[in-house]
Amino acid sequence: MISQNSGAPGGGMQVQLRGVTSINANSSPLYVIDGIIVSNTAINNGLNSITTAGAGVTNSQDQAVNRIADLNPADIENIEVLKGASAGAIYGSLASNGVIVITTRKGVSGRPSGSVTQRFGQFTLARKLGLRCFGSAAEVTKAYSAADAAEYTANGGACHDLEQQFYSGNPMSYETDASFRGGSSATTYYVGGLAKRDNAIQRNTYYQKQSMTANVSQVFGSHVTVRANNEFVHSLTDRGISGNDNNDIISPGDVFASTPTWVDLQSGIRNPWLPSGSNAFQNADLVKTPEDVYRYIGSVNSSVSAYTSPRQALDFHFIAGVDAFSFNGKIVSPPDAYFEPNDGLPGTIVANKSQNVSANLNLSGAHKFISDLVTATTSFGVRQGRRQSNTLVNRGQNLPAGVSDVNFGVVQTVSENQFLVKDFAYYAQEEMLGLGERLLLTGGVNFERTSVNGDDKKFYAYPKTALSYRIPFLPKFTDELKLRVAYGKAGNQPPYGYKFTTLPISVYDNVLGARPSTIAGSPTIKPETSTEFEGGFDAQFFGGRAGVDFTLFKKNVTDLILSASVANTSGFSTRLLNAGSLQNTGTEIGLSATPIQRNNLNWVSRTTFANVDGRITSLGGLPCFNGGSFFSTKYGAPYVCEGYSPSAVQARNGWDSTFTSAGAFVSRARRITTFESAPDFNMGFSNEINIGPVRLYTLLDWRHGGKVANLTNAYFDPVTNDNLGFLADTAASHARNDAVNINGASYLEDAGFVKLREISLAYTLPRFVTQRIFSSLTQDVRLEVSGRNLKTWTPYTGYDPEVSNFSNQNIGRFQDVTPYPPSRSVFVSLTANF
Amino acid sequence: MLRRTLWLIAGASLGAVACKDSTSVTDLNNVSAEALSGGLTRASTQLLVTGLINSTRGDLDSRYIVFSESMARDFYRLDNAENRYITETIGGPADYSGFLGGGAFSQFYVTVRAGNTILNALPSATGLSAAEASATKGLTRTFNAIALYRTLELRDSLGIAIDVNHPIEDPPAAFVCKPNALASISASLDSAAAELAAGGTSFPFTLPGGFTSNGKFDTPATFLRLNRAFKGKVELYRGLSRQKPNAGSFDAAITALTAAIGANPTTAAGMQDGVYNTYSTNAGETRYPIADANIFLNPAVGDSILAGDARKSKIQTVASKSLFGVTSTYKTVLTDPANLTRPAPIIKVSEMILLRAQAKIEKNDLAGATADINLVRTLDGGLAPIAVPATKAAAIDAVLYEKRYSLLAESAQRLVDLRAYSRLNATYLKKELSGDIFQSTLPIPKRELDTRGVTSISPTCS
Repeated sequence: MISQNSGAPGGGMQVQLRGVTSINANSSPLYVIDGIIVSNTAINNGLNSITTAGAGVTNSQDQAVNRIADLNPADIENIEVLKGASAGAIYGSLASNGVIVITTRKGVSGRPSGSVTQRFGQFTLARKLGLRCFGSAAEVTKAYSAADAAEYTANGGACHDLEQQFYSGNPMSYETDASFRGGSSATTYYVGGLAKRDNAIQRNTYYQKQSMTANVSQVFGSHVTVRANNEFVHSLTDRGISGNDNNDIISPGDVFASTPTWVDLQSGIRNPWLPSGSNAFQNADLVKTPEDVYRYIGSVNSSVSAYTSPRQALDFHFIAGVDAFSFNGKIVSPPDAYFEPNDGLPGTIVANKSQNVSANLNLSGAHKFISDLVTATTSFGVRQGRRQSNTLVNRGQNLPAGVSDVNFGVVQTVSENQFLVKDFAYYAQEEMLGLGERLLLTGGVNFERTSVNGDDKKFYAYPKTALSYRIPFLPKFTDELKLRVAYGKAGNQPPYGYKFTTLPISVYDNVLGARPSTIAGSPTIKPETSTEFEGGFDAQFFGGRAGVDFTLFKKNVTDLILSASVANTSGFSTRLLNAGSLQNTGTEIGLSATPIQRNNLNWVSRTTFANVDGRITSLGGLPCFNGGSFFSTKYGAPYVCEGYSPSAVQARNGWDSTFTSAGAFVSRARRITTFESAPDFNMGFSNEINIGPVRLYTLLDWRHGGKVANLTNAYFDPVTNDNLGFLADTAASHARNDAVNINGASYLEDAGFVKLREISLAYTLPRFVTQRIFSSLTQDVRLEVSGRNLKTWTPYTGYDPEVSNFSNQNIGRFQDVTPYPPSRSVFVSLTANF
Repeated sequence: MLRRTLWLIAGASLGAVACKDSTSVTDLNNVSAEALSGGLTRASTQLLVTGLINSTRGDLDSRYIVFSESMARDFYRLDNAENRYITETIGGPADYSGFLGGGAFSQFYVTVRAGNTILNALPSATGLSAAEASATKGLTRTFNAIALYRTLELRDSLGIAIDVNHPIEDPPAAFVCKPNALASISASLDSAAAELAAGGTSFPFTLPGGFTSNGKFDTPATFLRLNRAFKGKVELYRGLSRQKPNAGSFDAAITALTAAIGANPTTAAGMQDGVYNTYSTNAGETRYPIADANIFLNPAVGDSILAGDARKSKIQTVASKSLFGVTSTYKTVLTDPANLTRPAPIIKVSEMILLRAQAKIEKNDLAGATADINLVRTLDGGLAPIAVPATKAAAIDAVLYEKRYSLLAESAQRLVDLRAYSRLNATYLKKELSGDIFQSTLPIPKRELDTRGVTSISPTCS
């Protein structure tokens, strides 16, 4: 399941494979590019320094981008998603959330070829909340006061569509892609490049990226092949201000929730409705939040063919690679922004420098033995990994206008955060193909140790085995039927530092003080272990015109790393430990069909279905708790409890009263109801129709069920139920407010949806036209119009039911707090291949 | 031959890679608590004591003050982004799972643990004389008692946990009822006083500037005044407790407070003597917690002050602000967002004198009480003295007036008084909003109940 955390440019996506697999440890799948593990970390830029959504200079509510978004999709040849532990066991304690194996494009020997694409397009606001227009001064008086009505009249009774004004008017976006490949029999190359700029819907926000890729391969003699892959990416994005805020009101959604539509905020005036005068339009013009990232991903992959005979082959592979990026975040919020003096320190600059390196060495051998009965391949090797980062954040506050260096701040705050993890693993695998290449049997094991474990010298074993069989006797119209079963274990490492109990240092009157941390670390912490069984079949019918793949899986995660709440009266807040387990079971079905296949008419349809049923099977005796990041059960809070789904959400939902037998009132207690935040199932429908040179492609995404806590509505709804409220649909707004006042769960809304993710229409120009207009080298030229997220059908009343205020979360994704709204886009592109 | 060579190379490199790097990584971002396992030294005593006092400073945070001062009808915090400062203080009951109902609780126990860490480590300390160890113990125990008293201020009749010095693996400490908690805090302050008395002439560490900025409180003998001030405060409310009131408490309060006050002050500056939290905007430092543009005064504060009262300088008239059903035209300079380094008293002499007046009222010594009230009224307020009130109720009115304006925005004292005198109700106060239930305490946080596996706690009083 892929969900977008907000509509802000530059990404911020959460990929969850086979449900929630952890409560506290890493939530992201492992990304492997050409054999190298790459980082998908998210770096908080320091927006919190001006929004004070939470504590600290930076905070998880900074609306961060997870960095896998840096990759250039055009460089990708193939993506293989290893959903389960049974497939990813070779990656040990990094594979519990699944593994996404990406192979980049390579050169091919032969005539040099190339492709150039130019795209132009526009992003527009996909959905509005709808703001209230006041019809008369009398209405304003009734809702507010005579003074406000006078202000309304003085503004000519205007109704400014603040959403429309703020989330539109951006220039066109563009993207240029180019790639070339070719080579001789010994040398091949692929060179790719990209330059793009997305001008996003929120005033002055954008995302731009340039990338260059050069993959070169050389064969030395008959035994040695050396391949070098290099990708260099630069991205620069300014996502502006969005999401939660507390002090002062600066998040656009929050400003609009506090300001009636008769106020002309777009003119940049001091906002008369907020004590500080905060105006989202002025903020967007003055406050800059660029994030500049330079990233290099490269590897050298050498293969040595040591011995080859008709019956045997022995190969060695050596892969060394690095993923290094430098993140330069900057927040410049000048003192003349209306809200800035509010904290007593006018002007804020945050400089955030983060260096991140992930380096890998893989050394492996593979021996192949071919006999009449079986082909057996034995692989073995070692993998060494090192991931490190160092983030240095400086904040300067109370500074003069016009400066951009952090040192001008009278009040300085510095924080440095480091991270270093060392992994080391041995692995071995045996693969046997026999019975006339019908039976494939695989078995392997990975022994791994890592420095984040309590015992950093101990090796943990992650075995796997898989069996598949192609049935020789097939029913009519069936081309192939393959049965498969697999079993495997994988892990999820403890987060860095969980083994330590710290002594945080503070300063009082220039003297250092220390107070024991409220978090009790665990010196015996170990990885979470997923054990997974899966089975299913793949079938092909009617000469490949139809296919079905069907998988059932059961995944047990044990030794969950929990941050257990302890009674606050102990002086601790939490205790880190391994306890409890959860189980996910699910079904994945893929149907593909080619209903029409004629000479110049071709229709290919693919439907996918996936559901996951998660259950916390034990908490190891710990009491149930509201976990993850959340606001309150008034709106909806993640609930972790034995027997419940790991994506359960708890919300206040009325009262339970007790009465005497005579019917007299005795007492009442708040009723708290548990709901499910995750969808029951997801379905995807893609259809591609080719009529001669015309291609039509559609992709629909259906998510059924699930809940989102819409705190954005709580911002807009009136607190007391008279005529107040700034949403167009004031009746619904009041109904929600009435319901929540008697403790109803009115902010927990249904979040199912159907989205038209993509629709595109392409036309390939006839060859004679192409060659006449362009050059005779041109193979084909394609003109395409594509739209993304053009339409969403959902009962959800907020911007986007996929939203996540706290970005990527294992649990507690479902919280909507004045987010960056979603956009739809329409692009026109021209591709020439030659 | 080739194969053998390759196998050798492969085997050797596997081994080399495995042996080269050390497997462990230390905590790169923090000092580990293991640093203390070798026992306390003079330097680590300073480190932990400063940590404890800093934690105490942190306890006097915006939540503790704003929640209690809102319930006491002194504050409105009008924040467009957060209505709960109103809806859950004077608009209805606080949600025990949210930041308000669940807040202003855990921080005090973190302080207590910081104190207990010192108390547990002191027996194995090296480099401290017996007197120094005793002084350290007395200071630590005093701050632990203050933290527990503050917890009780906000939870009152719901009770608090007292016996919390146990390892994390042990079951949570039982809640005790308010009279027992006050008795325990009082006894702990007495043990601390004895330890301070045996504490020699100086502490083996330096204290922050707020211990010497307004009077001297930085030696065991002078720090004892802070201890006695809280002893007096605790005894007063032990006596005023409706459940199991303690007969000897008012006399004990008068004795302790007189010891804390010393000679009656004769100047306005003398009234401000006390221990202060000081703040700074330097890196890593703490800023004045209620420098906050959203804090308005409940109109009752601005409307009720007498003409000519010098404490009017604390009150500012501002443009009318209405939000969430309440309206105010007053703010206070004490919450000026631009002043991030204003010192805040932990307790000061004018509060001690007014506490003594309250104890005297309960002893029916209205003349003595009036003398104390007039001391504050003339020196702090610049007002003419009042005559001895005819009734106890009138004397309480008089003392509450002085407390409101002399101690505005300093602590939960007004909430505690309104509750102790049964004045937190519609007879004495305006119903602020339709849902106003005159909430007198914050609830026991849901998290505390959940971690104990219970849905409510009702400690019994033996």
